[in-house]
Amino acid sequence: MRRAVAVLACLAVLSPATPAAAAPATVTWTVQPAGTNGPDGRRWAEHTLDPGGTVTDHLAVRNLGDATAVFALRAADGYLTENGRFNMLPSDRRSADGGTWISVRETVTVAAGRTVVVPFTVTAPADATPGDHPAGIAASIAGKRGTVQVESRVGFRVLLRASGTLRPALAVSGVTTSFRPNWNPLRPGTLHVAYTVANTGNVRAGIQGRVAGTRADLGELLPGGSRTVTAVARTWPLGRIRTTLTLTPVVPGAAAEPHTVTVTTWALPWPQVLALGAVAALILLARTRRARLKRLLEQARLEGRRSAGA
Amino acid sequence: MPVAVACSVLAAATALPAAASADPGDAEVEVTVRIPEIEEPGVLALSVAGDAVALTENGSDLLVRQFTGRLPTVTVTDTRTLEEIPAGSSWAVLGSSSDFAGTAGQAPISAGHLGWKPRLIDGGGTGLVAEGEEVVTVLDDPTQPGNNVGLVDQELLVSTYDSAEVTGGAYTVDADLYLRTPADVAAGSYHSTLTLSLFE
Repeated sequence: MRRAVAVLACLAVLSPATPAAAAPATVTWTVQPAGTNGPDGRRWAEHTLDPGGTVTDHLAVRNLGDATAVFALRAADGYLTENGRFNMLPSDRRSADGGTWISVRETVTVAAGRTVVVPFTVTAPADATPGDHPAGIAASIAGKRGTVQVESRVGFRVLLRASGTLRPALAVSGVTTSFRPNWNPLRPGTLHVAYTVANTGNVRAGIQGRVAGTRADLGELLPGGSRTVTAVARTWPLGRIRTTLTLTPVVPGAAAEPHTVTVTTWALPWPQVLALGAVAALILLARTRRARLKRLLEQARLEGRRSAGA
Repeated sequence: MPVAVACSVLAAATALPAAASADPGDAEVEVTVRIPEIEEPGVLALSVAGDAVALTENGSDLLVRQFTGRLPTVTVTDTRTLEEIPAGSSWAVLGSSSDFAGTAGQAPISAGHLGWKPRLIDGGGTGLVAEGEEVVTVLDDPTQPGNNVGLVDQELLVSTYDSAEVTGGAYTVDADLYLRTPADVAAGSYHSTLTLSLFE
């Protein structure tokens, strides 16, 4: 029994069960951009710096729980996930961009119900390239024991920009189309257009899309970010369908060229052909039945005459 | 799990006139209670009921060993007023795992072997706060197209698309975690870090 052996060679992936009394209390906290006196109502921090320039900003860590807590403070490169959510690199990944511009003290201790304001400085390197270098800053609590140590972070975006020429640019790749007919011949089918749009410029941009006349707001892309999108348009299967895909980066304070791609799909009107075929078959059937009836009647009359004449 | 909500705002100062005395001739004494307005802005806060997950072996078979556990309960509380929420805001708690490092020099177990199934415990009444999709491990067949990748990248634990629609509530979620490894994985102690992040 291999099974028994496997169980015997017990993998020590398990941390000793901690008694409930030693379980850490729930920690409740928030982190907000702040002035020297406390949260100042900003949603996130935005700074434009000249290469080599420095700016000081503040964050407020507010402990809403009922016990004093020690938070680790960290900044890291920021990015948007595939579904457009902001996140920053976890602590085991090295930042290479905006995250390295920020310095903040390692930890802060906050008493229950209190708020502590912590300064952080942003220094742009002398060779910073013009455009956006997104980052985030967060206060976290982290476990030190257990198989899976949970590090929980609350933070905000720190959108850093190095001064210089803003170059909005997009690239579209991997365009695929597929047509799904509607088996009701009186209704149009659906055309699915899937594509990947990448921000190849140096500035974050909102992406406005138009596919086959349908507008869509695709959200924001940071420089170097990309997103795979599927657009759906209702269309009649008229054989060769040409679809125009227009994507425009929207950047405040910078003019941007729309990016256009044209794709061709073949959509054959099978439902309509089948429907016409079915109608034709019904007509034909009706005709043959009528002809047969006629023939039978003729035959009956003939036989009637014969039997009458016999 | 009670959630500490730090502010209860009583917007109106309440004046309580004393009940009119039934006995004429008594001097009327007016009693006024002033409840000052609390000048605390609302917050978007995270509560986490622990900082570690113990995984215990169960459900192993001849080919795959399985260790399961449960994520500490996570609550997102939003006490902001509509004026305090910028237009178009949306919040999310994302999770991602590091590789499982062996503490005695064993080869690491990659994060792709850790899967989870988020579970919404309290999603409020709006239907606009949703738990993330299940993510299964690299040893599994996908249960949704392409979801057999493990927690290598950021995955949604709980999120909303419109902060303004769901403010004034507390939303609670946890998740079942499972580590699935080949049966011949080296014995020993391993640990990883699961990062949960709340950003708006």
